[in-house]
Amino acid sequence: MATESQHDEYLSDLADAHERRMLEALERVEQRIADYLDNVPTQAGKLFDTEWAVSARREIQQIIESEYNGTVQSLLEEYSDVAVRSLEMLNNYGDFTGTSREVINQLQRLTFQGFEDIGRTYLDTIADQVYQNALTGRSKADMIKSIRQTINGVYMQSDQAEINKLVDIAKNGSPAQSKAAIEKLHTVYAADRTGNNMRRYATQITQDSLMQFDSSINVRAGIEAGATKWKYYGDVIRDSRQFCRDRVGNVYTNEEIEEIWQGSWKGKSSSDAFIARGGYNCRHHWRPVLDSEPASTAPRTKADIPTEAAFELEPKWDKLAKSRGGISPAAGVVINKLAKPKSITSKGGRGYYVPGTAEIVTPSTGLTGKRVLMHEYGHHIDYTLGPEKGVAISASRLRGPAKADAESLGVFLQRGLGKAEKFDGDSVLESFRDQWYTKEAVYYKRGSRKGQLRGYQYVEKYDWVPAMSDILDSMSRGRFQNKFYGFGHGVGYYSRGEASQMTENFANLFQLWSFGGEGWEKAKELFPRLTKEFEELMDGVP
Amino acid sequence: MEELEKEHFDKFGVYPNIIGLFWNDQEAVMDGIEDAIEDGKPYDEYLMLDDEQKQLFDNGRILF
Repeated sequence: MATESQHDEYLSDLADAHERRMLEALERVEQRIADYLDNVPTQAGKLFDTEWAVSARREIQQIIESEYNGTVQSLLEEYSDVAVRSLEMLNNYGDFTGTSREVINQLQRLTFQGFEDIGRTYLDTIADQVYQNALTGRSKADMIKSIRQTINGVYMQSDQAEINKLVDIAKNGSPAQSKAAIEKLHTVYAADRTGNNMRRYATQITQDSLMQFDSSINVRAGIEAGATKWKYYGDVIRDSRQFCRDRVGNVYTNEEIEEIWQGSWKGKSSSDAFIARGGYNCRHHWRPVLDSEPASTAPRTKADIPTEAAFELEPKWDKLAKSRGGISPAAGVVINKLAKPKSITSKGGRGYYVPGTAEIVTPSTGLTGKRVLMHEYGHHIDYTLGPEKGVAISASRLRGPAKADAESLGVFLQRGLGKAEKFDGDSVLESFRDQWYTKEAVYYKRGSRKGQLRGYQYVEKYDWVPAMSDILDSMSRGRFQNKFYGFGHGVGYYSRGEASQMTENFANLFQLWSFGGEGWEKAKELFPRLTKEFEELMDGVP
Repeated sequence: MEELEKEHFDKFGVYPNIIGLFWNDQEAVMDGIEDAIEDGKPYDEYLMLDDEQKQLFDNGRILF
């Protein structure tokens, strides 16, 4: 039986196939109408015969009915298979009864009417154009061009090879190439800047009808099974609306859905949440969630997920996380949502994480223990969210924001520098050192000089200083530690490459975010792009 | 810290090799450098790793 993700994929592929067939049908409509209009009677190349223009409506109607309505009919016949597959998917998660044939037929009829309205509207538009052009004596070539445009907009066929090439790029090129080609085509067909053509509406309804049909079937089956909770599911792609990004994967009660979907957002298409979903062209879906759904598949609502972190290992780690004010509820939810590390152990004062084995080593007590635990746990989350095993998400997501923040602060360093080498950002680093640390004397602890002045060390003024310092150290490739003695992994560590900088940024951000309070506010102030990207990453944790 | 590093350099001709092993505990680093000076052996955090950890470190597969 298909899972929700397999069903999502099936619907997405089917929507693409339906759209292709609709586009092909509209190309045939355009060509057949153009061929027919090529036989219009003319005088000196100008239209004049209004009687012929009136009779043309019947022929245009036949072309639209056979090519467009015929294609719609064949698409809708496949909806029966959608209903079967939807039920198979639902039964993966509970005991659901299929929707009756009668309801399916009624939905298909209603859907057909939506398509039919578009066909009828454009039949009227085209027939009116033919008549008005005959009245005003427009040239045949201009009329055909205008009607082609009414059907397919800038994608219309042309007798100019250059324009056809642009159309081909608009249809098949990369997103950037396609956008550039469409812009050029708009300059050629200035009248179609708004894109109000048959193609636009027909392809939109092709996609929306399929998704709405699937949604109707699922919701109906859920209501009949007594469901009061619904999961909003589907893939998040680059073009997904923020509204959907924020909600995909979540489970909502009827009341929550009513409240959330009352709002407005760009592209919202209907007030019925189950029909509208994210709006026009949305490819997200609803499925019912029964109370009896097995725990292994039951999605959890945000409210279901405990906000108190549970590492599911030795209780002492939960206790350490809870100490000194605990960690933020949002961090607790993220920890509880994701896979846990293989082990958390203690080896003296050391702290490290091994991505290959998901092992954390951290001091087990005190503020340092808690800081290091959350720092190393940040590494674990970074790798858990990565695109594949052994690859951290920070490598792709934090690079740009980190560089931009570092450049804004004036501490960006391309390579590690020796202490004596000059760096323009030194005054900035020194200023942070002076703001965040106090200089304290330290004394020899052993040997003949025991008790004598050993030198000075920099002691942090605030709890959040180590993680903030290390981000500055990462941005300056270890210079903050090496030259100014702030907390940081140092030149020897960051000289391993950019990946090390990004993973440490992530771990430090997680540490600061999980501690919350003043430290996170300070981080947002100092590293606005990094913290924004990090918050988006945490919001999107599935 | 600066004074200790200089003392280390004067004694061994090299600065202490700090690779971030104790990045969160500056005092541990300073104590380590003091011990190294007393014991006549340069401070080197890399050498504190076992063979497997050295390999992981060289390949960026251990994170501090």
